[in-house]
Amino acid sequence: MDHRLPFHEVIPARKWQRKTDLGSFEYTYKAEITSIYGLTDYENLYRIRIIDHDDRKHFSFHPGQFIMLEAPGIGEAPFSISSSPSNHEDIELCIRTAGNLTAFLSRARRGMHVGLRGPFGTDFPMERMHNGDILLIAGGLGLAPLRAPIAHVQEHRSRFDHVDLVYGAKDPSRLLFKFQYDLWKKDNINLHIIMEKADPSWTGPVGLITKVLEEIINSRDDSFIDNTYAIVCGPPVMFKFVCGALSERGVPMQKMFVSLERRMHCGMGKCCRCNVGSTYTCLKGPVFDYWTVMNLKEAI
Amino acid sequence: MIRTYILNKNHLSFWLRQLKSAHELIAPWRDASGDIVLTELSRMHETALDGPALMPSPKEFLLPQMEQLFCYSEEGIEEAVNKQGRVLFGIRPCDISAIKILDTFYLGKNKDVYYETRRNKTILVSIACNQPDPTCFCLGLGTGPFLKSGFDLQFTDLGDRFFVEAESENGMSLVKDFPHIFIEPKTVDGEDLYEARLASQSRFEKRVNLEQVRKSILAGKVNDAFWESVAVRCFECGGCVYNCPVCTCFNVIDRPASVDTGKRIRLWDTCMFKGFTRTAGGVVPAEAKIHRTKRWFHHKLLHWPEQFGVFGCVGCGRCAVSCPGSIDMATVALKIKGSDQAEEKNA
Repeated sequence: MDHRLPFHEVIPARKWQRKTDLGSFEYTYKAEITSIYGLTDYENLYRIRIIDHDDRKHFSFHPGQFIMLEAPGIGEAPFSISSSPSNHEDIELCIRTAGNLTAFLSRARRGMHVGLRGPFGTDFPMERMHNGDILLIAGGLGLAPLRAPIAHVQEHRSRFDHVDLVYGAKDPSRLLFKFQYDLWKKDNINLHIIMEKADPSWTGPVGLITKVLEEIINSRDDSFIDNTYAIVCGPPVMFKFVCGALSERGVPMQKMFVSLERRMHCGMGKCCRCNVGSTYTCLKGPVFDYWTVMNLKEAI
Repeated sequence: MIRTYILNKNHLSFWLRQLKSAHELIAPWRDASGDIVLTELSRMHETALDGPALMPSPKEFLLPQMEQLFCYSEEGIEEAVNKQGRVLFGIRPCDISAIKILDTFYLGKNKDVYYETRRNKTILVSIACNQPDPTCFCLGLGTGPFLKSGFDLQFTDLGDRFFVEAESENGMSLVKDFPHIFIEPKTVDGEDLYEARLASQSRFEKRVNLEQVRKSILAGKVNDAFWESVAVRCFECGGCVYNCPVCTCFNVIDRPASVDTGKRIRLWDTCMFKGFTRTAGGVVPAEAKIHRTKRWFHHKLLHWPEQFGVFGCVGCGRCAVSCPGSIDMATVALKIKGSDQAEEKNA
């Protein structure tokens, strides 16, 4: 199925929100912020609901895809979706205050209207990973796009064997989604959290994410190589070390999936910002297997 | 099928005046400071067809420097598009080639509707170059100095008259109402045309073979030290990108007028600026100047051919005119070729 199906192909013409004769360009959904939950000092979790009931029913996405969120008068920016694809009511976005739009959103109130375009991009091939082990590796804000595949794993837990989640953060005050850790553990997801810098309240391991990763790799037998799929998300430096360590152990590069972060303004391969070589991250990405990324010059 | 006509130069103003009654007529015009710019023509005899490559390029009329995508208010959102037909008269064959490249980019998969609407209402009338500029190198790319196809109407200056070629329906529609001035060409006109073309081809000062350059880059013969030597000369002014008829990068921003009204505009952007690729995480994928200059050249020389089968360069030489550091496409291409040949001699 083509996930990039434009709005006008799924919604009858009378439902268009805009007065326009440029029909084919129109697929912005009108949405509403239904709740805002502060995760840390910098990141908030926004729950967003498409107002029109029919549109909401038609909107579906896959783990790893992103949307363009706009606030009229402020701007538009891409955000990866960090909620379960099976939740058709709300979309959850974990957003760090970094620029114009995000600063505006951090001051937003419940009930504010926003525009939503998408979903765009490729997804993590979750079906392909069924009956295998999954290694989810997140660095910092990388946990935001990983929450969608984690939710998929939770919902189809019996289809996966070992599931490990390795999460590295700068310090304990920057931990995201704290309320989920117990739920994840309950679903038999092994959670390994490591801090770059510890403070007195932290009792877990301290160091770089590769430290925990190596422990996991070394603790497994050779079946690990054949069965494991890795999903990696984080700052570009992390990809090199994490994927390097995994491929050294023998995990094939095609079984590691990374999500690249690039600046985007259109989401349709026109503004020429996100391209790595001749590959547009918004069209062919953001999810790539590591083999493809290695063959893209200067991708990471 | 290409139909050919002869138009006496005395009839040009009359014909342009007729065009203007039904279309928005854009033509080169010499402004008060002596520069030749593309603008809406009001006095027909003032059109200046003998100047160098037009700055800025005609892409401005298909992809404006700043265009309003839509405006929003409490009542909803309304979009702005150009509704009147438009004739771009007096642009160069390289500009037409550039517009053809823009077409493959904007009208391929994921059509850009703003571009499409504007493009469908634009008729392209080019003037073949009898006097190529010293900066031009379209000859090696096949994008000029005259075209075999792709135009709506192509004029060739034959001294006292124009040789007119009409290829498309749109082009035909401009001439078919004036059979008394667009007359049948004679044999002598064809001979003059042939001579004019031959003379024009011989006047090129720069001979650049971009395919050769592409091959040496792909073969890994161009190292980072070379790109560093290019990058140190870059002023990061963005002139090459803004003047390039093929460059398409844009930025989208919102301009609020009040609390709940405003407009969203799209404006040109340039990959030569550092903030162009800055991400929320604070990482800038192309941070060093060398990455940005290399990215621009690679995009034109490697990635366009890979995606669309044509170079992202038409050899118009505008970057050579605008670049204060002399690192335009032709200079860099010749340098790559030169160092390549020097290497072969040494080997």
